[in-house]
Amino acid sequence: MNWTRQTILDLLQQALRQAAADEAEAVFTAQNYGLTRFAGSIIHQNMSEEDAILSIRVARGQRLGACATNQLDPEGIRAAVEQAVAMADLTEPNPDFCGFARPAPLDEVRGPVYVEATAAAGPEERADYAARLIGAAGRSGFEAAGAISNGVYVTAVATSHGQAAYQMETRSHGLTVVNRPGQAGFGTGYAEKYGRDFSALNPEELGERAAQISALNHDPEPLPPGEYTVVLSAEAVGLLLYYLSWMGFHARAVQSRQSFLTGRRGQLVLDPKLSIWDDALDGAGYGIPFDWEGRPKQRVDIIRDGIAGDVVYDSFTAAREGRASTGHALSPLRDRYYSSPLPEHLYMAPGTASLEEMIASTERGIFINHLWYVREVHFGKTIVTGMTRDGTFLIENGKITRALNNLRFTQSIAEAFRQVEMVGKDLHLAEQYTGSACVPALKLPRFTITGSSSF
Amino acid sequence: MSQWIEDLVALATDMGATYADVRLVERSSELISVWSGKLEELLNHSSRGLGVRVIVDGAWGFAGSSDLSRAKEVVAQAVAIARASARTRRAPVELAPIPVVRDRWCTPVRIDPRGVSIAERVDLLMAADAEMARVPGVTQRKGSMGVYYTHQLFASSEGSLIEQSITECGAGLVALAADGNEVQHRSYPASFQGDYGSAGYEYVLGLDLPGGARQCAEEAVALLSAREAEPGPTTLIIDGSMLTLMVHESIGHALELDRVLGSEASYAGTSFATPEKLGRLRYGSPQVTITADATLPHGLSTFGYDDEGAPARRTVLIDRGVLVNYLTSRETAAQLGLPVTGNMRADGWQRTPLIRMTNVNLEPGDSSLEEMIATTDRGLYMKTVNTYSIDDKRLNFTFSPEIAWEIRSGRLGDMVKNARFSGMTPEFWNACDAVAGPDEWHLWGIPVCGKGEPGQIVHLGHGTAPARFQNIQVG
Repeated sequence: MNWTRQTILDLLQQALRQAAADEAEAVFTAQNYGLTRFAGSIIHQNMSEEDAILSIRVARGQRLGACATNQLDPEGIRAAVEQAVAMADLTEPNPDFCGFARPAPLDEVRGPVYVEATAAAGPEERADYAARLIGAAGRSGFEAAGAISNGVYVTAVATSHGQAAYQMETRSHGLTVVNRPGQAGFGTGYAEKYGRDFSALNPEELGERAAQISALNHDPEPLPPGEYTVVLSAEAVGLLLYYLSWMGFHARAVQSRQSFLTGRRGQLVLDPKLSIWDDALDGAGYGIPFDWEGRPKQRVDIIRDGIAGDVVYDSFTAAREGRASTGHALSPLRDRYYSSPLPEHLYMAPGTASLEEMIASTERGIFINHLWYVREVHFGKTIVTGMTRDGTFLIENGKITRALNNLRFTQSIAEAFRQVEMVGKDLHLAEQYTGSACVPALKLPRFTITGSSSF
Repeated sequence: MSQWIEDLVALATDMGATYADVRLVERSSELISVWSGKLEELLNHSSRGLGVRVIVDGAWGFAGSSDLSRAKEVVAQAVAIARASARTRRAPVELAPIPVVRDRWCTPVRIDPRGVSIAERVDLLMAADAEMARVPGVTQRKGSMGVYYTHQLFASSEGSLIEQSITECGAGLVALAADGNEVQHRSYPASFQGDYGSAGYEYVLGLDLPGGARQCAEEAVALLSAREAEPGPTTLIIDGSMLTLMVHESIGHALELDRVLGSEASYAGTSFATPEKLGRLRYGSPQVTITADATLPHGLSTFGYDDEGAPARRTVLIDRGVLVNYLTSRETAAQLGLPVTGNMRADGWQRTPLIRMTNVNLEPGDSSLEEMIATTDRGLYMKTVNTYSIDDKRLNFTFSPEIAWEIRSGRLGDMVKNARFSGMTPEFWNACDAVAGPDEWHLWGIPVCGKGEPGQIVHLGHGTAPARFQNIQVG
């Protein structure tokens, strides 16, 4: 693979030059990664993938056509460009199209985005990490399932107007669910870590942390439905924030009047302890300084001290309001479930509390370690339902006193975030369905439990 | 190319693989989306690559690449990955036997979508959009259509060589209504992008998008002023399109033998339907018979062979309520001494096959929607999937429809909104007391089912007819 900046930008220029169109945009995405899965403390799936995709979009007037291919030889590129042009000719003009990106300076992400150790690690290193994690869990009698991954990712955008953007980055992650096989009544424990540096994953720590949770998670009991105080792990907060963002933090939701932020700019909409923003340039996350249209990503303060600010825009939604894009267009190859634009680099401001302090300050409540199968119930009201898993515990008089069955919650996220008792001091990074979120743990006084499972 | 991939298989065995298979896959998709009268997405996406799966030292390795000039390196990479996997192995992987075949298979197609211009497809979506736009109060409209082609060559070290060409297409509509306080939507003919099948463009025409658009939009607007569903236990009659997801989430996923045996524990979870329950668990009432059938015409998971070369077949999973089989792979079938059901499928060349549903169906019964409503004193009739969530052992669930109507004294009454019901899987299926007959049975195609790490999306089908369930908790 040769995915250096000049090689890729030359490739994009080659595609752009062939486009018989008024203007054109070319996007390059590539990945070379490996993922090692284990279950029952043995590696059972182990893979690598190398792929590179060129997406070309052309405009003839306001008629748009697009084509993507992973055949990057001259013939493959020529065919893709011709297909895009042919498709443009078949369409009606899109009045929201205001031209592909013009040259604009791009800031760099504040922090390293490429770590050599991550790029260099192969199946042996991943197997070594998996074995170390399995060993750490196994020392306490636990069996581990999980995954270790590392990879190199390239994103580049060029337009016929001269914008040229490129980033090569690394990402890695490790996660595990452990349990105690053969011993009735023991439940699972979960731990995860994401980051650009494979060597910082610390598999032993992951295995031990998950084992500690599993050790507490025995002989769980049901809990009656009702409103409870909850301490949510940062992992759980990240997923809820992602859903809140998907339902409310983007122009398409506001313009269709679905977002809970519609018409609320400048009003107090969440607890004043909460500030939420999107910032692709913060090195703590998985930032890329440009969006999939090649436009600079701007920091967008969505919620500041509980008060509604702006939402994110791509060029199409921005054109409808006669304003500029904030640089939040999604990939043309995204899952069709997700509509552009969306925040892809979410942050929630940290507070001052440790997880231990949140638990110690709780007279009666629930600690939730991990969420599962969260789905929207009511888009406009930001109501979701989902299950807890891999460690749900009753807190009594400041201490975890017993394990609980996995619980079903049905809750408006915006409503839950309107009253926040404590905000964690530590931020946790996790990939979400699109992009990433870097968030703290939260203690919420009211969270609605609507049922429980039998384990 | 046949000789080429067989040479790659031979290279893998020369490098020490005791088993190897190679898949050369070309896939292309043509996706069109119309939002509120504007063509917002028109994307043609093609992808070609090579996936190599090997067993070395008793452990699995997989490598995939789109760079075919590096095919020999990809084989070597798969072998190296398998050797790394072997570091933690206990027993060597064993594969249940399947027939060695050299065969071709092709989706029967009446109207090849390649002969239908993009303009004609866009016109169809625009016509449906215009119908929705005629309904006052609709705030957003979406129509989408997808056509997928897959051409795959498969060769294994056991001597199989299989060529398959699969054509799939479908379409759907969504109408959205919002009044500032409330947001409601309706889909046609079903949610999850509509209805898809392995067939030609005749499948899209058969959906009659313009014909269904008006009612879809009118119901979205009407829902804004509908009453909330009353909470409490009641009788539910669930239409076929909504039952697809009940079958999918609480039966199909629960019976994937890899997750039953723990392979998905760290992500999708495990299953309550553990092996000691096979042949004994009363999963549902005698009305409930569930099959997996990759041979059904037009099914979105209908093919000749799965991605490890096992022939497509029909398998009874639940026989009149009793759990009698799982969805298996060669590896998991060997572990439990079960039949190979031909359910190993990969999301393209770049992913290793996993156990996936094919067309998993609730077999038709002998009732009818009309009869079920007429013999129900109080209850709800629910249509079209909205929300769905289930725990990581596939027991505790919540589902909600897009729309529901009250049933009072054997007749449909007022429309109600935001209905939601919860329960536990075996209790729910054991509460089924009637299933409509073959005339109301339809094989729905769902082009989005996720599983695995890295994530894999496959297309699959569910055949269902309306069914009735007693004493289900709403709210």
